[in-house]
Amino acid sequence: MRGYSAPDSGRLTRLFSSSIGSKLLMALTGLGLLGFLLAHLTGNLLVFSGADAINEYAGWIQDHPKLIWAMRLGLIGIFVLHIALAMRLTNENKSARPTRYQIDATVKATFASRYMLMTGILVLAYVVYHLLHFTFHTIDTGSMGLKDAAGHPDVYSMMMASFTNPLVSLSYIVANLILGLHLWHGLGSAIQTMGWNNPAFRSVATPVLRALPILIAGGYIAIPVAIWTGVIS
Amino acid sequence: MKFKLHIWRQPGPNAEGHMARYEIDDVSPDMSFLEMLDLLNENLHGKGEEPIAFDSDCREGICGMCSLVVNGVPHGPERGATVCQLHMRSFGNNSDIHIEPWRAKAFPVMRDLIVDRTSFDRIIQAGGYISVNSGAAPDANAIPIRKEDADTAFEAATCIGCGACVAACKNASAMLFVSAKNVHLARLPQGQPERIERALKMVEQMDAEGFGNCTNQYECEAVCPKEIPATFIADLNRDFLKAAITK
Amino acid sequence: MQLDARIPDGPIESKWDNFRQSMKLVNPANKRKFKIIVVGSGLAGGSAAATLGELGYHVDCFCFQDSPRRAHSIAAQGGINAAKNYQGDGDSVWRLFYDTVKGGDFRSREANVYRLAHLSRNIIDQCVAAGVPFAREYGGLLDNRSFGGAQVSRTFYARGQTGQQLLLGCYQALARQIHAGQVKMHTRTEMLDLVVKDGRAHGIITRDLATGQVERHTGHAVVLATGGYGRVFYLSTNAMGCNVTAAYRAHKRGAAFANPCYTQIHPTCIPVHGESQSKLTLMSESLRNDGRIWVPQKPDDKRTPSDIPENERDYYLERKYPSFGNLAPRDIASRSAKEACDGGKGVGYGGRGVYLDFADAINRLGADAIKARYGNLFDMYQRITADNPYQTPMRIYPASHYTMGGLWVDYHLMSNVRGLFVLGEANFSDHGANRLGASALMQGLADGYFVISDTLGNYLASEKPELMSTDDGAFQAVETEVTERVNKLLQANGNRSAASFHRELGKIMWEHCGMARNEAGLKEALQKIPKLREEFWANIGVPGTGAQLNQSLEEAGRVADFMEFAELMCRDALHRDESCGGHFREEHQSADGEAVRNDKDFCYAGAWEHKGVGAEQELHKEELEFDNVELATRSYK
Repeated sequence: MRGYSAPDSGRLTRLFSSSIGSKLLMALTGLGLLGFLLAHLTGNLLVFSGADAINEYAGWIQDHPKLIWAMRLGLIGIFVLHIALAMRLTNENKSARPTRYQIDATVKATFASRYMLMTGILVLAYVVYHLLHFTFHTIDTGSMGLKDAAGHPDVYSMMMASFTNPLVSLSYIVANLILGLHLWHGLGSAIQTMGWNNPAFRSVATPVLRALPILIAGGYIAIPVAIWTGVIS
Repeated sequence: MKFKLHIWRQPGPNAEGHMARYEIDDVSPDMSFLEMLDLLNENLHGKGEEPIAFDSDCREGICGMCSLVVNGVPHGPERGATVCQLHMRSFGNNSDIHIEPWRAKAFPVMRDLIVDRTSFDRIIQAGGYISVNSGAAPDANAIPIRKEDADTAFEAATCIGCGACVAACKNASAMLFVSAKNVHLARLPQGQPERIERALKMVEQMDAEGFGNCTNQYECEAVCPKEIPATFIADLNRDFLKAAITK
Repeated sequence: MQLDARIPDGPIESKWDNFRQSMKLVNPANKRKFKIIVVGSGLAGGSAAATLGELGYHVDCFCFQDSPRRAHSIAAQGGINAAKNYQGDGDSVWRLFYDTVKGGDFRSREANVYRLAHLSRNIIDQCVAAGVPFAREYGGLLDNRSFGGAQVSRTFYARGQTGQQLLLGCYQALARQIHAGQVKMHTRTEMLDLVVKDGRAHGIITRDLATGQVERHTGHAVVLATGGYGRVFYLSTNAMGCNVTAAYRAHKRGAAFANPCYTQIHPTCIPVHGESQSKLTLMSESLRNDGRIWVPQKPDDKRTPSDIPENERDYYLERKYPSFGNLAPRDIASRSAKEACDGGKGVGYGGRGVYLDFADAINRLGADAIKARYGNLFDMYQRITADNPYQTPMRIYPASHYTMGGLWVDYHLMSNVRGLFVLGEANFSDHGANRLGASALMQGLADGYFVISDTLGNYLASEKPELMSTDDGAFQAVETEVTERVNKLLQANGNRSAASFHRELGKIMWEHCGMARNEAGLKEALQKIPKLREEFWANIGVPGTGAQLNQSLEEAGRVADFMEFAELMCRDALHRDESCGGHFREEHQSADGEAVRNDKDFCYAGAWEHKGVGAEQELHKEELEFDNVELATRSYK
């Protein structure tokens, strides 16, 4: 057992080696990833404005490789940190309760909260799948690699080709439901960890906190559904 | 009433334990849960077997000594009550009842259903107090305290230190316990001078004792016999983060 | 045996100051050379250990629970008195002093009571500074209520959990000293004997309840704050672990035990539900502010209460005590309930209960108002009994609650064994024959926070006691006795449990030495107890070994001491041939059932000297002088 000793230096080390500090980092990286999800969604939703809008957006991205790589590296860093912290915290938690109960009962923990690790792993799998699909074009190759007249990637056509395949659409819909569950608990949890969960904050923020995961998952799901059902064609 | 009991037996801290099965009849619905165990122990004594060791003292829900997990839930099925306030009428006749000790690395089993909770004491010792020597106090009415703050401090101070929050948490986190002491003292003007150090020291001691991390599932709040709200944990988080960054 | 109360000179208002001005002090640098043993970690022991630690003494503090925060002080509900006069309703130190002496039925020591009233104000200051969240008014200042029939509002409270909040304040102060290394805390450790040599206390013998290890602890002084002996009745509002062992062992080693017959019975407890009952639950007396107490007029009336018409009910307190009615003092309310039940009018299990009816109050004020006042008590009642008190009357019955008797101490709180100090409920000093509501917490904290620090320092500075080596023959001898006694229990090969004996002893005590006593009953009890004790040693069976956590062994040891102590209590009750406070001798009552004191023959504290198990104890008297409060008959008519 360690006793308390206040270190004079290494304030950040001390912060992030503590349980609350680790969770703060977990919350901050989670919020960073949430920001990415929002930005990415905003871009993707351009598909509803037609081929030109989304292809122009994709083209702009291709024209700014430095910016994009900086963002990608940052994103990867945050993502890796988030996963690494999750693993560390999970290990600590397992060792804090070495013996399980013979009878396991849950009184109020939500479904989303109880399966965070599971949904997190599935989201990771989804990310890999998504990258292999739309970034590296190693899955569903028939729908990928399309170019428009100007030689830019024709993202619009690629989306149309992919999501008219019901299996591909279904996999994206399920994946985003799981992502929604992960966000549902993660977002509330981040607010609690950062210490903002008080009555005044809650009265204003609760609707937003509840709506955000639904909007994000719903927004991502809307694209395959719209294409599959022919709303966009 | 009759029951089939499944109870954790463990002769000592380093011994192997197991669930043992007992039958009991002649239980009156008005008996408290612990009186039912007294009866079982009396029966075991009559048969020359060693009685089941379990902690209890005041038997009216205030001392925090009793500590049984009943059918997977610390303090059993009644909300806002300790297991000593639970009565047998809450159970169906002839039902199975599983009784286990608190489970946490920081609460090692001493014998049968008794665990060692001195880790909680050490957290309070690390900083869960206001430093004022006897005789050094100003007049009690010298500092008015907003009723709202006094009431919140009181609500936090009703914690009985039983450890059900830890027992209920799948991570064996002690955050609800620590946050209750933090809020109790942080809401009072008397507690301000040491507020920052208190949060730091208590959390560091909590981590050192081997409690797990809070994953915000609020099982602790659900089983707390004094219904201490998990929003207090947010207050602790804020105080700790502020302290860790500024101190 | 010499009983010198060592009351300081001067008028009563200045006795404490006079003592403090003339007391000897221990140099700050020398305090760390003294080692003090404090047994018990409740309000008295916890505050004493913390305060002595703050002053620089080395303290070893012991409790049998797993944490000092669990001491039974925690269960006190009502509040704590203090003569602050924050309400401007005419309170003063003098008035609190006067009320306490009168409440104690003129059997307490005036000088101690005055000091208690005087220090009551500092206690509130100390507790607030330590973060005790007392109830407050909207303006942010402390709220008070009137309690136990007092005519002023002087009771500070924290909802129904005042004891808990005060104890946590104390526990936190203690935790701070443990962290600072000034106090070494020994939890799950029970004191099993006192080491005395040449009339001076040198240490204690303990048993580590987790490992069974019997250990020696030496100190320059020993402070006992081990609570009361209410569990002698088996059923009481005390916690399961409360016991008389530490105090009784000190008694057997030479400390006089004073007024053991003074026990307080609380009138509003939830009645017994059956043979298997392990303890009783108290409900705050405040219920009597709005509840009306009654029994059916006809004996053995088995109708449900709602079927009993108004004219067939006996509101006996309102009938007998028209001006106080349902708010009659604790002892009177308790005895009247017993009388009604003895007359066959009791209700519920075994005919041992009376109704406490809120129907009128609910009609008058509405259920919401009643809920606001007593919601948590009603919930508690319903949880325990499954009856809904909003719809049907509560059933209540008196239960043993507090014991005023205890080890005899002088003004310095030192017993007749030099170096043995006794605080809180464990001593006999401040409440006389009956304790006022909201005064127990006050006494525990006054003793621990403010008295012992001065009087113990004075003892150390003036007598310069030596620290005895634990290798001394005196330690060896007492440890051997303790070990032998533990082994005797373990080797007994009977088949009865300690609990079964305890229950049997409790029945004898409750029947003959409970709310009302008489000569024949007490003599009968004095016949029965030694027989039961013989039966105990012949038939007790303790499973398991001594080298482990063994709750059967702990219980057996405590019951064994109650078996001896009960006899002392009955002896005292028999000798005190008068009625006073909590001690009611049926032979001494007025025509309408009031207690009749005999000031001519019994205006003294009766301190008993141990003369061997089973042998008659020797009585020593400390005459009580009332120079400031005139001896008068209590009247609550």
